Amino acid sequence: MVRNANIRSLMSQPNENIPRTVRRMASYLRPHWKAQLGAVVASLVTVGAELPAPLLLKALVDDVAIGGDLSLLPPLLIAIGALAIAGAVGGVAANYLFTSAGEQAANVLRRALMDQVLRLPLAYFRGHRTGDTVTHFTADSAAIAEAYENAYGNGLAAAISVLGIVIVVAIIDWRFGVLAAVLVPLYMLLPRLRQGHHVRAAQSVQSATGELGGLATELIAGMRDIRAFNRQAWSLERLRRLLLALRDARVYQGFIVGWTWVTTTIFWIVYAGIFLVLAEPIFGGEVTIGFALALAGYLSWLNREVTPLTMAYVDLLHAVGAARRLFGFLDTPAEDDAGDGTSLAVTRGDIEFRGVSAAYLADTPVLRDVSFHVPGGSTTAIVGPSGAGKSTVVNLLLRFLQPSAGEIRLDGQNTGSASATEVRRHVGVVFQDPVLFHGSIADNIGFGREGIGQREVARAADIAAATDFVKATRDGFDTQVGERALRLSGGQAQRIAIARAIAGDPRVLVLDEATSALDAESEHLVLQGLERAREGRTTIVVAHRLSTVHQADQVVVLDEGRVLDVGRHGELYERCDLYRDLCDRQMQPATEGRDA
Amino acid sequence: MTASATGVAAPPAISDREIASRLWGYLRGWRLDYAGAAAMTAGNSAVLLTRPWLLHVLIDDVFGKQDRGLLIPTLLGIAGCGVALGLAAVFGHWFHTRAAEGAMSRMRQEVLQQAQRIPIGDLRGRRTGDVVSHLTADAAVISTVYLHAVSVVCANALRLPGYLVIMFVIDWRLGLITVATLPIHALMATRVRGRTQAAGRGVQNAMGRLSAVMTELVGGARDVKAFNRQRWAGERLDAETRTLWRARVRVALLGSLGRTAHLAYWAALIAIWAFLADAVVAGTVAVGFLVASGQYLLQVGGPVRNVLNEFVQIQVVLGTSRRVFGFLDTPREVDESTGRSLSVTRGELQIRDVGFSYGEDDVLNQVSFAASPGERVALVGPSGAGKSTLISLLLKFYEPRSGRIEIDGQDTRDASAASVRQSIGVVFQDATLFDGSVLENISLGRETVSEADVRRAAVLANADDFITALEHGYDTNIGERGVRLSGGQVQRIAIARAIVGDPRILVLDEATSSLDAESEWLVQQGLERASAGRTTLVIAHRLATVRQADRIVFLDGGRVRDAGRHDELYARNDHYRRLCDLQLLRGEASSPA
Repeated sequence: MVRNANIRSLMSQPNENIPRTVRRMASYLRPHWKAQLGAVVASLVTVGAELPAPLLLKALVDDVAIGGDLSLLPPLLIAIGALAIAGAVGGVAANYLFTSAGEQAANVLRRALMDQVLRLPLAYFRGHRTGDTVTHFTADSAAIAEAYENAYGNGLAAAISVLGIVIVVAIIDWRFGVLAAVLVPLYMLLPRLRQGHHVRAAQSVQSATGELGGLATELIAGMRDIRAFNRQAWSLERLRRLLLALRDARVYQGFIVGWTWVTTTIFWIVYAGIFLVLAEPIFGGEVTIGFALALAGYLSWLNREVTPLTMAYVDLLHAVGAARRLFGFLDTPAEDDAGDGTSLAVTRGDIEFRGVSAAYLADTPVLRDVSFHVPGGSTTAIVGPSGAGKSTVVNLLLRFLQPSAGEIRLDGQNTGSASATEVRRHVGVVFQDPVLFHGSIADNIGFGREGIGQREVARAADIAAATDFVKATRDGFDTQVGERALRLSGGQAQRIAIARAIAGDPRVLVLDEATSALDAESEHLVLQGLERAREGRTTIVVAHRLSTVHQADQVVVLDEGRVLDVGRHGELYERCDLYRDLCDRQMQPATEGRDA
Repeated sequence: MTASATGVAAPPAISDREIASRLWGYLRGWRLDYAGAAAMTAGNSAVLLTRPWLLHVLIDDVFGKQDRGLLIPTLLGIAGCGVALGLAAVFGHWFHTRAAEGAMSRMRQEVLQQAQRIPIGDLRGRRTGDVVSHLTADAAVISTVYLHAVSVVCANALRLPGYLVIMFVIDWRLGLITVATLPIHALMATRVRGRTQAAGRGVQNAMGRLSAVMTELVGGARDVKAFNRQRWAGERLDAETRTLWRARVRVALLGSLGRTAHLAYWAALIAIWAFLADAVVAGTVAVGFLVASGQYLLQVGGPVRNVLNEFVQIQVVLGTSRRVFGFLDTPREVDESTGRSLSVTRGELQIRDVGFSYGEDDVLNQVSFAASPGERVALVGPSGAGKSTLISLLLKFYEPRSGRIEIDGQDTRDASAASVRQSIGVVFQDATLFDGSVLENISLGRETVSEADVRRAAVLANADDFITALEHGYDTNIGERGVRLSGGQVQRIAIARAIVGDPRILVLDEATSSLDAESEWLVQQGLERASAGRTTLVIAHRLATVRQADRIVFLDGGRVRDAGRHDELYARNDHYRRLCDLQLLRGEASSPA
C-alpha cells in the first residue's frame, strides 16, 4: 500500500526528478566508460564518413551531370564508396560496443538488486509479494537495459549525427543552419509536452505486467486447489479481468507512442517549405538544384536521425517509470549490518539474553524484557503458543532483527556491535522449510561454509545421518537437487539442511521447527541426525511438538513476548499451567473429545 | 543435469507453417483491427513510393522545364505525404496494439486452461515456472509478431516490386542495377538467418535461466543470509547475466552486420552514376530521374533491412511459439470436461482393487477398502506408502491403472472430474490462499454459494471468530498482499472452503500436520464439526489424530497391509505397532515423568 501511494505521488508530478533518475541510471554505465568511449568514437567515425555524402551528390548533380565534367566522376564515386565502407564499419563497431556496455550496465543493476534482496530485512518480504520482487528483476531491469541500448546507444549516435548535420548545413548556408538548429529542439520539445502521459502510460503497463506475473504465479502454483474445487472458470475470469486492464494500458501506450510520429509530418512540411523558399533563387539561377538537393538531403537526414532521437527519449521516459520502481526498491532501508567490525571469539557458545525487547514495527513489541541463559554445550528449548515470540528469538539469534533494548551475549561478548555476518558465522540454523538450491548435494552441504572441502562435506553428512541415502542416489554427493532436478523427500531435505548447518562447525545450532513438517518415520531419522549434530554445540530448539523438548537441559516458556518460566520439563509440567496445557493439548487433540 | 534444464520436455515438431496458421487463428475477433493496421501499413508504403517521384517532378518539370504552375501542387503533395505518414503511424500503432493484445489475451487464457487440464503432476517444481513464463514473458514476445513483425515484412515485400517497376519505367539500366543488388541483400539475409535464429534462442534461454535463478535466490534469501552466502548468490546471478550478455551482444552484432546490407545501396548508386553519367550529360536521361532513382535505391535497401530485422524477431517468435504450442499440445491424460454426472446423496466410498504407477514402479497395488456414509476412515503408513496418490486418484487428478473407485455405487471412471470433485471437499496440508478477501477465498467465486453459506461454513470450521475480529471482517484481503494469517487460520479457511459446497465426502490430507499444538487443537475442533454427517477420509502421520477413526487402513509399499480399529491393529500388526512406537517417543515425552 505504501509503495502504491509512492507511485501515485510520483505520477502526480511526472516532471520532477526525471533528470535525477536518468543520472542515476547513467551512473551504472560509468564503469564501462571505455566501451562507451569506443562507441562514441565509432559513432563519430560513422557520422564523419556519412556527412560528406550529400555534398558529393551535389557535386555529381551540379558539376558532373549539369556541368558535364566527366573527369570528376571516378574520384567522386571512389570517395563515396570508401566513405560508405568506413561508415558501415564504424556503425557495426558502435552498435556492438553500445549493446555490450548497455547490457553490462543492466547486469550490474541486476546484481545491485540481488545484493539489495539479500540486505533487506526479512520483514520486508512479509509485506511484499515475491512475484513483485522478481518483476523488479525481469521486467523492470529489461526496460532499463532497453533504455541503455536505445537511449544511451542509438540516442547518443543519433545526437552525434544531428550535431554534425547542423554544423555542415550551417557551413553551407548559415541561415539554413539556424533553421536546422531551431528545428531540432522543436522536435525534441514535442514529445516532452506529452511526457506526463508517457510516464503514466509506462507505469500503468509496468504495474499491470507485474500484477500479471503475480497472478500467473498464484494461479499456476495454486492449480491443485483450483482443480480440486472445480474453480477453473473462476480463475480464468480473474486472469481475463487483468488481461483486459493490461490491454487497455497497452493500447493507451500505443496511442501515446504513435503521436511521436507527428515530428515526421512536420518535417515533410518543412521539406516542402525549403523548396518553396528556394524556388525563386533556383528559377533565377542564383542557387543550383544540386545545392537545394544537398540541403534537402541533409534536412531529411536530420529527420531520420531526430526520429531515433525522440524514440530514444521516449524509451528513456519508459525506463524512468521502471527505474523509479526499481530504485525505490534499491533505496528501501537495508538490514542494519554494519557493526563496528568487532570480531567475536566464540569457543564455548554460551548464550545470554539480557532484558531483550524486539519489534518488527516500531510500536508493536513482539518480545518484552526477555532474559535467559544458555550455558555453552547445553540444549535449551523455547516453547510457547503461536504468537509468543519464538520465531523472533531465532531472528534475533541470526541477526535478522536487532533488539530494540537489551543485549544478546555470545561467550560474554555483546553481539550488538558485531556485524550480522560475524554473528552468523557462529550460528548454524536448520529451518522448518529449508530452501535447497539447484546444484549438487555436495554444493548444498558446502553452502554452510565458504571453501569447504570434500571430506568436511562427507563428515557433515555422516553426522546428519544423511550419508546412507545420499550414497543410494545415482551420483552420490554429485546428484543434482533443487527446483530443476531430483526432488528429495522432506526428511531427506531436512538432513541435508542439518549437514549444511554444521558443515561450518558453528558453536551454536538453532533448530527452528526443524522436524515439524515431517512424518513420524522421517522425523525419527532426522532426530537421529540431530542427536549427533548437537554434540559439543550449544543448541536452541524452537518446537511446538515437544518430542525434541524432553531431551533439553532447560525449557524456556514464552507467552505474549515474555518469559513465563524457565526450568526442566518435569518441573515446568508441575508448576507452569500454560506449559502443562501445551503438553496436554498436544497429546489430546480434539479428536479425542469426539466421543465425550 | 537433467534434460529438461532448459525448458519444456521435448516439444512435438510443429512446422513453421502450422505455427503461422495457428498464430493467425488467435486474431479471430480482432481481424478488423488487424485489417485496419494492414491498411495503415499499406498507406505508409504508398506514400514512400510516391515521394521520390514528386522529387523527380520537382527537379525535372518544375525547375528543369521552369514550369512554375506545378511548383505549389508538387510541394503540397510532398507536405501531404508527411501528413498521411503521420496519420498512418498513429492509427497503425493503435490498431496493431489492439489486435496484438486481443490475440495475446486469448493465448494466455488458453495457456491457463491447458494448465487446468494437464495431469496435475506435470505442474510440479520447475514446470510451474515454465508455465508462468508462457503466461507472461513468452506471450509478450509472441505479441511482437502481431505488433510489427508480420506487417513490416508484408509492407516491405509489397514495396519492393513497386520500386522495381518504377526503376524500370525510369530507365531499364536502372532497373537492372537495382535487380542486381537484390542477391546481395538476399545473400546477407540467408547467411545471417540461421545464426540470428540460434542467437535469438540463446537470448531466450539465457533469460529463462536468469529468471529461474532469480526466483530461487529471492525465494531463498533467508537461507542465503543465514549462512552468509551473499557473495555466492551474487556470483550465481553474475554467471547467468554474463551468459545473457554474451547472447545479447551476439544478437546485436548479427543485427548490425545485417544492416551493413545498405552498402549495397552505395554500390548501386556508384554503378548508376558510372553507367548513366554519359547519358545525363548527353541529355538522354534527366538529372531528376537520377536523383529520384538514388532515393528509390536508398529505399530498396530499407525493405531488405527491415525484413532482416523483423526476421530476427520472427525467428524468436517462432521459437517461443513452438514452446508455448508445445505446452498447449501436451496430451491431456485426464479429460476433465466430459463424462457422466454423478448423483451423490449418501457419500459411500468404494475403492476396488486400485492399482497405479507414475512410471515403472507400482505406487498402488490392488488397494481395496470401503467407507460407509458418515464413517471416518484413516489412511496411515510410512512415507511413500501411496496415501497421497490415493487421494489424487480419488480427486481424479489421475486415473487408476487398474481397478476402480465408486461413489454411492457409481463408477467414477467414466464420470466427469467436475462432478466427482463436487461431491468431495478436500483440505490439503498447505492450502493456497488467493489474492482476495476472506469471502472470496472461501467461496472461490462459486455462484451458488451465498454470503450466508460462507459464514455458516466458517462457523463450522471454527474460523468465524478470528475472521470477524479482522479489521474488515469477511472483506479483509488475505492474499499475498493482504493481512497475513497464521498457519492455523489458513487451515481453518481451507476447511470452510472445503465444506461450503456441502460435499458428502471430506478428505483431509495432512490437514494439521504443519501446525503447532495450539493451532492444531483449534483446527481439529473445526474439523470435528465440519466432518459431522460426512464420510471422512483422513491422512495423517500423527497417529494421535487418527486413533479415534472408525477404521484405520494401514498402507505400506502401495498395498493395504491391514485394516481395522487402532487397538486391533496395534495388537496384531507388527509394522503398525512399530509406527506407533516411533510416535510414542512423543507420548512418553510429554506425559509427566
